[in-house]
Parts: sequence; structure tokens; C-alpha cells
Amino acid sequence: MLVAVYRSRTSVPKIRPLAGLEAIEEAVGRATEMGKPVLFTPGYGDVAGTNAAPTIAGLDMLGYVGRLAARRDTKMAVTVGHPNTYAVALDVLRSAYMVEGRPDALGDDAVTFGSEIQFAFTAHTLGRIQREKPATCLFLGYFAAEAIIVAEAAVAAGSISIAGATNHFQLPFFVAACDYTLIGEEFLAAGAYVSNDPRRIGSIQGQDWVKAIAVALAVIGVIMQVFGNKSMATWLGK
Amino acid sequence: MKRELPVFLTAITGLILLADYYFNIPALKPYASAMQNWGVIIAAFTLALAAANLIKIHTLRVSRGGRIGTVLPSLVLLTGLFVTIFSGIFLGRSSPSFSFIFNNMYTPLAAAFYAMTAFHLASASYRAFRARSAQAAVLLITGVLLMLGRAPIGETIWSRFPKIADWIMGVGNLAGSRGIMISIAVGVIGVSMRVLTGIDRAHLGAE
Repeated sequence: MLVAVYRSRTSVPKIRPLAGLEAIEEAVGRATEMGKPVLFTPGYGDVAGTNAAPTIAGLDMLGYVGRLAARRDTKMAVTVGHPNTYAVALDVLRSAYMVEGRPDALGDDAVTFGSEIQFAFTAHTLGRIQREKPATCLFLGYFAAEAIIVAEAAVAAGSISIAGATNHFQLPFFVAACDYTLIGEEFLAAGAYVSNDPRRIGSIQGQDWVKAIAVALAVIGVIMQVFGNKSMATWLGK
Repeated sequence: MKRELPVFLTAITGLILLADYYFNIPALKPYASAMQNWGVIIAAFTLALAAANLIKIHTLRVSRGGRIGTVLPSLVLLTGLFVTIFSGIFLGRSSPSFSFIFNNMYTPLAAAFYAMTAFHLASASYRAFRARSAQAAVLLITGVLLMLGRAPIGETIWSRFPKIADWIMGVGNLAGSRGIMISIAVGVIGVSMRVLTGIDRAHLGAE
């Protein structure tokens, strides 16, 4: 990955367009046209610990969406389920509005903390969806069993919904209920894709190399296993 | 400096904690332990900030008045918040009032929410299973086979349905899940590397 980042200084690799990411700009535009808010939630994960990666990836996208919304004078409604994430989300959204030269446009209730407890956070998010009837709902972050509940609430409110998550148990629910879903690594690469930063895009290419190595090792392991040699399987299983 | 200092602190903290996790270096242990304690202290401050936001927003909503549908939920939230805080801090977490709130209010409400997923799943599945494209048709067929294989009536209709369902879960589904899991693991390593090296600084705000 570090080699790919270094190489990106001279040649920037191309990332294939992702339908879900392309749809975000259109979805924010839809909210602008309808005069309704954009609801964004990075879930109830913390910015530290085992759920940090999807939460940070979600906050990354919050900055991008916040800038789009500020540019178009569209109201943002952000619900957060962890105190640490709340502090970071508030700062990310404020700085997005400041960069667009519209710090006053950010309302006091733009970012609201619900609860650290899963279903209390769910109720908080449902409440905002039902009261504010957003035109667009973006669920980009860490989600567990509440995924299907919030996604269906977006459908009931008539919103276009885009989800991104790394919890592979919840991905089918998002796929079933949302208009677009960023699956696993697509979501983790989303921030790099929208940033156009060569180093970040380079690291995505590095990830693909690592995946290719993992697939090659798995295929070699299968062939060795077929011929009775278990050394690769034993090594990978450690 | 506003951006460089957080990146530097993130890198130092991350590297010390990673080194402490993967290697047995006695000299690092006190620093790693201290950093984890600082994390707990910072979390206490952010909880206060988040709770202040919650109280401010709902107090404003109550004081502004308006429709009962807007004011009442905020009033219920504030009452519940202060009653729970009072009974937890002044009467203790093992007090009858705190236990009553937990066992008779919080637990049934959480269970009710969890139970709602069944209804949401049914409506989401209904929309997803409409065979509008080849992929949706495959999803529909797989879903029907799986339901017939898992429900008792399926085995009564044809004894092979459970075996087909086991094959779908054990081969097709497992292979797909593992592919996604490998890519997620690589992606998580990528995000961590970008944050630790300061390549990814979006969480520090827009530049």
C-alpha cells in the first residue's frame, strides 16, 4: 500500500465510478430542489476502537456532503449515536460550511446527539426522519440491527436513500431497502474517491494489490489442499 | 499547525498502541496504559458536550411551545433523562427505582424496537423481491428456495429443499460473505494506514 501511495506522486490511478457515490450529488440536488433537508448519520459507532474505520469513513463523507449542502443552501440534519463521534461530526460539518463561506447557514440543531444505546439512537434518527421528512437520507457509517429500521423509515418518508456499511450482516438489509448501497470496501474507499487526492487514491490501488495477493494465496492454498499438502492452509489459519 | 499537530498526535498515539499490542515491550506499557486512560477522560468530556446538546435542543423545543406532537416527546425525553440521572447518581445503580427504569421501561422498549425489524424486513423484502431484472429474479428464486428450505412446510413439500438451502448458505452465501469480509479487512487496514500516516485528514475538517 505504501508503494502504491509513493507511485501515485507520478501517476494517479483511476478508480471505476461507483453508482452510489455518483448518486450522492444528485440526491443532495434533489433535496435542494424540493426545499427539504438532507439527513446524514454515521451510525452509533465510536471514532476509536473496533468500529472506528466505518465511522471515520462516514465522517469523511459527512465533510463532502456538508460542502455540497452548504454550496446549495440545503439544510443538513445529522444524527449521531456516540459522544466522541458527535464532537468530531460537529467540527467536520462546521469546517465544511466555513470552507464554503457559509458558517451562519449551519443551524444549531444540525448535528444532534441521540444516545449511545443502539435503539435509543434508532428512535432519535426515526424521529428526525418522521418530523423533518428529508428528501435524501444518507446512512454512511457503523450500523447493526437498526439498519433495516432506519432504511425503511426513509422509504416511508419518501426519501431517496444511500447507504454504506462494513457490517456484512447488515449489508443485505441495506441492499433490500435503500436505493443505492456502498458495499464494504467501496464505502471505505468513498472518501478517497470524492477527494481526488492522488495519495489517497494511490492507497486504494495498494489495497487492490493486497486483495490480489490474498486471492492468489487462497487459490494456491486450494490447489495444495487438493493434492494433500496442508502447509498453506495451516499457515493461513494461524 | 492546526492540522499538523492532530496528525502528529494521532500518528504517535497510534504507533505506540500498535507496538504495545503486537510486541512485548515493557518500556511502552506505561505510555500505552496512560493513553488509554486519557481516551476514557476525553470520552467523559465529549459525553458532557453531547448531553448538553441534547438538553439544549429539547429545552428550546419545549420553551418555544407549538404543536403537542413536537413538545410532548421532548418533555418526555427531558423528564426521563433527569429522573434516570437522579436515580443513578443519588440513589445508586442498584436502587429499586433505577432497576425499575431499566427492567420495566428501557428493556421492553428496546425489545419492541428489535421486534419491529421483522415487519420492516417483510416490507423491504417485498420490494427487493420484485423480479424487475435478471439479478432481482435470481434474488427472488434464491430467497424462495431458502425460505422453503428453512420453513418446516418446505421439507413436507419436497425433502430436498433443506439440502438446497444448506448448499446456498454453505457454498454461494459463504463464498460471497468471505470475499466481502476479506475486502473489508483490507479496506480497514487501508483506512487505518491513511489516518496514521496523515494521508487521510478529512475527519479533522475540510481544508
